[in-house]
Parts: sequence; structure tokens; C-alpha cells
Amino acid sequence: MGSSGVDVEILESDVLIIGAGGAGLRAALEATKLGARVTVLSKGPVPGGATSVSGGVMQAAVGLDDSPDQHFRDTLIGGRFLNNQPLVRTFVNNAAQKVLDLERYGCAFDRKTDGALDLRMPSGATRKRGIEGEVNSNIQKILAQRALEGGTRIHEFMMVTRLLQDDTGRVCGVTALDFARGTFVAFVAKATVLATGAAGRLYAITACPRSSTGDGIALARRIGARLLNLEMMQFIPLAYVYPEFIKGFTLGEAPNYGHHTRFLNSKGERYMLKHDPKRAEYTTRDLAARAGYIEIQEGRGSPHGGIWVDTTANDPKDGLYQPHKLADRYQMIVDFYGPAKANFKEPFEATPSALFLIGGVEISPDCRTNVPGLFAAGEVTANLHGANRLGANALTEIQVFGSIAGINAAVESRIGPAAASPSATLRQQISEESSAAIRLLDRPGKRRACEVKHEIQRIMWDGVGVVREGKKLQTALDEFRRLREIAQGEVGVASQARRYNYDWVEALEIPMMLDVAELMAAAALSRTESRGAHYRTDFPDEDDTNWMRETVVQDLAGRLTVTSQPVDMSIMSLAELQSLQ
Amino acid sequence: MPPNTIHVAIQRYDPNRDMAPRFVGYQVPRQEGMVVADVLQYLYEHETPDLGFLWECRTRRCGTCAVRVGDRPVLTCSEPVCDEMRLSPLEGIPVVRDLIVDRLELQERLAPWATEDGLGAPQEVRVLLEPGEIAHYRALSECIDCFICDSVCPALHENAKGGAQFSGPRRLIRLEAQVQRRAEPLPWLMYAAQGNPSLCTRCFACTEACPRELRPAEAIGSLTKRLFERGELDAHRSSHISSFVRSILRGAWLDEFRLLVDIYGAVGVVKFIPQALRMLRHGKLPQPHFGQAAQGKDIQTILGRLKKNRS
Repeated sequence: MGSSGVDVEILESDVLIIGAGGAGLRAALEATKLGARVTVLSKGPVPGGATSVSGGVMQAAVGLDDSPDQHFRDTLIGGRFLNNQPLVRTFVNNAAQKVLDLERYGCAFDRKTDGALDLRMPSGATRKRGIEGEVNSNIQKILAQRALEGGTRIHEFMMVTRLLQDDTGRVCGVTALDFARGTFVAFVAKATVLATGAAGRLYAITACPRSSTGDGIALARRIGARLLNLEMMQFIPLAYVYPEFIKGFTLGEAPNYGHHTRFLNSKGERYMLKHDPKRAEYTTRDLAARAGYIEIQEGRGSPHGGIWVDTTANDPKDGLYQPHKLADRYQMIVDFYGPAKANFKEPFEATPSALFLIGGVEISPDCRTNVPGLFAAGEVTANLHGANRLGANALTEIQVFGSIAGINAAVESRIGPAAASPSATLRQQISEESSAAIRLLDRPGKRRACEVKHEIQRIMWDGVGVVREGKKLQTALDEFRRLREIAQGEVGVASQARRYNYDWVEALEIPMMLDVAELMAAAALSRTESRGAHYRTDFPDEDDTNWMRETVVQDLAGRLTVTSQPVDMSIMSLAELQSLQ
Repeated sequence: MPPNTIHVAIQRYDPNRDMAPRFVGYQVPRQEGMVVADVLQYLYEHETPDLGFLWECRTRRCGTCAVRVGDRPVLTCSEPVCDEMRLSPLEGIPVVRDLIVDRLELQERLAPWATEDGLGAPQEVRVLLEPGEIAHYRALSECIDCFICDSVCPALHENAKGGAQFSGPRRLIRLEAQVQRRAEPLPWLMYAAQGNPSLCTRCFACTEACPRELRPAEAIGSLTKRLFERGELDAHRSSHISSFVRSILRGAWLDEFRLLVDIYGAVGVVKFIPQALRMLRHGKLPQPHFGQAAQGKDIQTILGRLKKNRS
């Protein structure tokens, strides 16, 4: 490892993809089919990331009673009309093809005995259009195999620290810590695709795996990318409260268990009746999450800090959902909860949990960002889902836009001149990053990165969580500023191991997490209404008059700017959408 | 009431710094509902920042968290703790440091055929339409590469002695999935043959240990059967056959017990006792047999004549 750019190995390809989830690997596959030399960088192992813990249902309008138009309408209604409509149009028009492609790549979907697809009804959809079969960790593995066969190079355990730019500001690669080996390395390419996925690990309770700290948002912020709707974080209503290690992992929703699921607080009250008298427990996910969160925060939670889910009134024939078996940990849950709770014969505890980052990097329907040379696809992007994401739309999103980004990045890599050897500008950036990473390693520090990480997660959960309020958001911003100083002055790396040094990785994560947390709090403060996943007690209603707008946060000349722009409603007007309800 | 403290001994070894592995003891405050990964994470955060262990998904899908608790290979993300535990890395896999073993580079792990001539792209994959076929394929393809099956495989451990090298159950179940799924399976079958699947001792240790309840032993059996049907057998398999032929000529009975003695010798057979117990549990232990089978004379006559015709 050297402190000057000369000692850092620089690896070159046509297309560089950051992230090896469904979107990144689909992009890789499509790019190699077009003859591009592709490199993929994964922060964690493959399979890994949010894709690896996702279920297996993908929405695509393939039924005879269905159409892309209907899928479009469902998605807009679910998104509270805030979705970027050209993105949704591209999405629904390509969904069937891009999902069914997976079968030719090696996946196997659920089919009935007559060979027809066995379709499901996803949450929030009005037609049976959920194609199911492979769990997504398997789809991820299959996409990786096809990409590898096509000549793609995939590197695991790569912590990307910066997007590199040439003199014109065009993105031309990244620097990364290869923490499997403990070396610093740079990758350069003619086109780069950001597909870094989820950000759930910014929160104390999340379904997301270890890697999901939303690094891509920070990388994009630092080069002046436009970031939309970062106040929109989707929380699921029900997740495990214990064992500690799986806290936050999904336990589905009321309808999964049958038609008479009840949610109870510590007083035995059906608190959902206060929030939605008509639908109660069968309301939208965001409302169910919000109600549960309030009960817990106000001290009416269950012994382990959740709410009670009582499915004992359900007809056993209805409740086919087996979350413990689906996650292949049935025996573990029997060990920890006892057979009665594990088989849902007794009420069990559940908590809301951070799941999916709805907002993100602004993209056009061809996956371009506002920064030349940078494409983006998947969960890291906006604004497909508006204010609330329908179930099973995200897994289709990564196939559709992963594919589009890969194709367009491959084409882009053919257009410009052949790659020159790295310029002085580039070497300077690489040198800066490499030196900074090594300085961090050499500094034992007074505080562990993992401690600061837990603090960020707690502030986010309490202050930028399921329920927000203006003063608390401002307090959160002040806390993040304080933590930045602490991080710069006191956080170091206590572990001197060379390989798989997670203390080093977490120390690198802290400034990035603070970058993203700050943006999310600032965006939440700027949206002075409640819509979908974003709920504020000081602005509790939807404000269609003033807020058919996307919040925009962007670093310009080193300063954070917070603005907004009208959402693109060029296909269906607000009046038309409202008449659908 | 369980005690308040968990006592755990962990094998520590950093090849860059240490001469040899050693066990270090730690104490961890017990909380309700702990899994082994909680213990490791606690130690990393509070006591020993350089503790080397992996985890990612928490839901038994990424395959990175496998370690041995005592002599049992488990996934730490879902293994309940005991009051006293001894943690070490998976057996028989090269150790990177502490509890982390070498899970290979991604291409070698997921698609080792990607650089073989004639394999990989653009080999076509069959679309599966029939539910039975789909279920059968999924039972093969859902391997998470945790390396637990390889760590318990006695035939793989034999590789260190040189001679024909066995691929191991992990690689072979992957190849069987490819054989079933590809439009043209023959190149995959030949590639699998290079891994000497017939070196499998059929002890079922892999199937027993698989945390996802896949059946690598059956997959290997399936591969071997296909190779046998194509007449592609290695010397080891041939020695099985000549032993069976001798067995029939002796007593008109396929005496698998005698097969072991023929191949490994009377003393060598002793090391198979643990596996024999496992096979007994699976109902697959062949019994030693003495004496003649019914119609034995007719069978022996036919076989004797066939042998004479061939020579």
C-alpha cells in the first residue's frame, strides 16, 4: 500500500458497476452481451445486500385481465401520485419482458400443473401479477453466473470510497478499499453505473443486511448529483423483535396471516381502530407501521419493545404464510419463542422496521443522472415509487432499470475516445483517497466506529423515523453535525488486522452515513406535508395544492442546497388520478 | 435460570502475525435470545476489535457465517448459544484468519466452468415449465456455498494424500444442477467427471450437515450414475465393479461390505466406522453376508459364461 497514487493499482474496463445486487448484476449481464468489458464491485459477499434477503415476488402485467396501464395506475395510487410518470411508464412497459428473461437465464418460476405461471396478488396491487419462484438470493446467484460466463469480473469486499471525475467533471471510475486483502485500489471505466441499493442500516431497526448503509447516496452527493425525495423511507409494520441478531427482519403483514389478524398494545387494545376505523389492521403498510411505532414510543409496547400480533382468530386455512420457514429458520424460532408462538397459536411480538429507500439519485428513463458518465439503477434511484412503494415492484424495478442501465452504459462506453492513461487530476484524487484511508488505519482513535454507528442509527430511528416533527428533525441535524466533529477528531481504527478488517470498513462508513443521514433529515424538514411513508405530526395532512413536488437536495460548490421541483405528471393529471380512487 | 455469563473459547490465528492457532477464552454477558453471531459481534464491539468473522444476510442465504461450535458446523446467524462454547473455523478449508476460511474468489466459487473451453456462454439454459421438475431443480440450485458439506467430507480430506482428487460435494451439487438445467448437458457432465465423483464414499455426512437441507450425496450419486451410463468411469469405479463381479462369483450376492475390505484392506476399514454409523441412520448400511443366495448357481453360471465370452 502506498501513500502516493503511483503505488495504487489501477484496473480498467469499459463499464464499471458499483453494487452486485439484482440491478448491478442485471446491468453487468446486459452490458457483456453487448460486448463491453465489465467490472462489478460488491461491498459485501455475493449473494449479499438487500437483494439477498428479499422475497421472490416480481410484479409484471402478464395476466389476461391485466395491462401495463393498470400496473401504471396501481403504482401511481400506491405512490400517492408523487411518482415520476415517465419512469413509471418505462417501468410497466418493460416489466413483463425483463422479468420473464430471467427464466432463460436460469431461474424457475412457480407454475401450475398446466404449465401456466402461478400468479400472486401483491400488496397494493389490483390484479394478480406477482410472478414468484426463486428467492432473490438465488436470482442474484444465477445472474452472477451468467455475467461471469460472459466475461464479467466481479470483486467482493470492495468498499468504494469515492467517484473519480476527470477535468470536465465526467465520472470515470472509483477508488476502493479491497478489504478482503487489505489493499487500496482504483478502477477506471468509460461509463459507471451506481447500483448500491439499500440504506436500512442507517436505522436502529431494519430488515437490511450488514452492507446496506446507503453508501451510494453519499458517493453521489459528493460529486453534485441531484437527489430526490430522500425523506421517503419505507418502514414495514411487522418485524422480529428478538433474537437480537434478527431484529428488524420482516414478518409480513396482517393479510398474510389471514382475515382476522389483530394488533394489540400492552393494554390489550386494538389500537388500529383509532387510526383507520374502517380497515383497521388491513390498512396500508405505512399507516400500520406508524400506528405501531406510536404505541411503542408512547410506552404501550410489548415486553421486548414491540406490539402484539394476534392471529389466533384466523382460519388456519387462510393463514398459509410461514415467515419462519420461508427464512429457513423455523427451528430457531421454535427454540427462542416456543412452539405455540412459532406456530402462531399465541400472540407474538413485532416491531416496525426500516426497509426500503424510496428516494435517491435522480435518473431519466434511460438511467442517466445529471452527472456525465454516471448511470444509476435500482433502489439507489428516484423517483419510480412516489411516496410509497407497492410490494413486489422493487424486484421488478431492478430487472427493468438494471437492464436499461447496463445497455446504455455499454453503448456509452463505445462512443467516446479510447481510454487514455490516467491523468494528473485522476492520480491526485486517487492519492488523496489512498492517503486518507491509510491515515485512518494508522490512527487508533478514542472512539470505536461501531459506537458512533449505533448513535447514528438511534438518532435516525427516533428523529427521522416513522413519525417526524420539525423540531426533532432540526435536533437530528444538530446531532449529526456534532457527530461529524467527533468522527473527525476521535474515531480511529482499533484493529490492526490486514484482511477483513471490519473496524476499518466501519470507520470509512461513518462519514458516508452522516452524509446520507443529514440529507434525509434536511429533506424531511423541507417537505411540509405528510404523504405516504413521510409523516409529520406538525404537518399531518396531504397537501396536493403545494406539494405535488419532489424535494431536491444537492451539494453545489461545497454547499448543501435544499429545493423542490414539480413532479412530472405528463401522462395522467392530478384530477385524473384522484378520480381513480 | 440460565447463568448470566457465556464462556466461549475461540480459535485465534492471524497467519501474518501468529506462529500457530491458539484458543483464547472470553466471557460475554448473556442476553435473552442470543445466537452465536451476537456473541461474536459483542466481542468485536467491546473486547477484541480484530476478531475475524463474517456475516451479511442474517437469514441463512449468503453462506458466509459458517463456523464450528464444538465439532458441529453451523451458521452463526441462527445458532442458539450454549453456556460454554468452543468456536473454531470449518475443518479442512484453508483458514484466512480466526474464524474466516477461504471461500474462494467469486468465479471459482459460483461458476468455475466460466473459463473452460466449450462451457459457459453462450450455452443455452432450458426453461422449466413442469412443477415437479421445478421443485427438483430448486432442491439442487439453492446451495448457499457455506462450505459446510466440504468441511465434513472424508473423501475431500483424502485429497491431501495425493492421487486422484475429489471435487467435493459443494462443487458437484452445483454441477449436477447445471447438468439438469442446460440444453446440452454433455460438456457439463464431462467437466464433472474431472472431479472424480466416484471417489465419494457415500457416507451421507454432507447431506446430514447441509444447513439448507439440500442433498449433495444424492446429487453426486446422480452424477455418477449418468457417467456410468455413458461408460465414463475412472479406475476407482472400475475397481468397484471388479469387486462386485468377484462378489457375485463367490456367493451370487452384491456384498458391499466385502467391497470396502477389497479396496481399503481389513485395517483401512476401521476408519469408516463413524460413517458406517451415519449410513446406518440413513438405512443405507450394507450387511455382511455369508453363504449362497437363492438361484445363486444360475446367476453364477450366466456370469461365468459372460466373462468367458468377453475375454
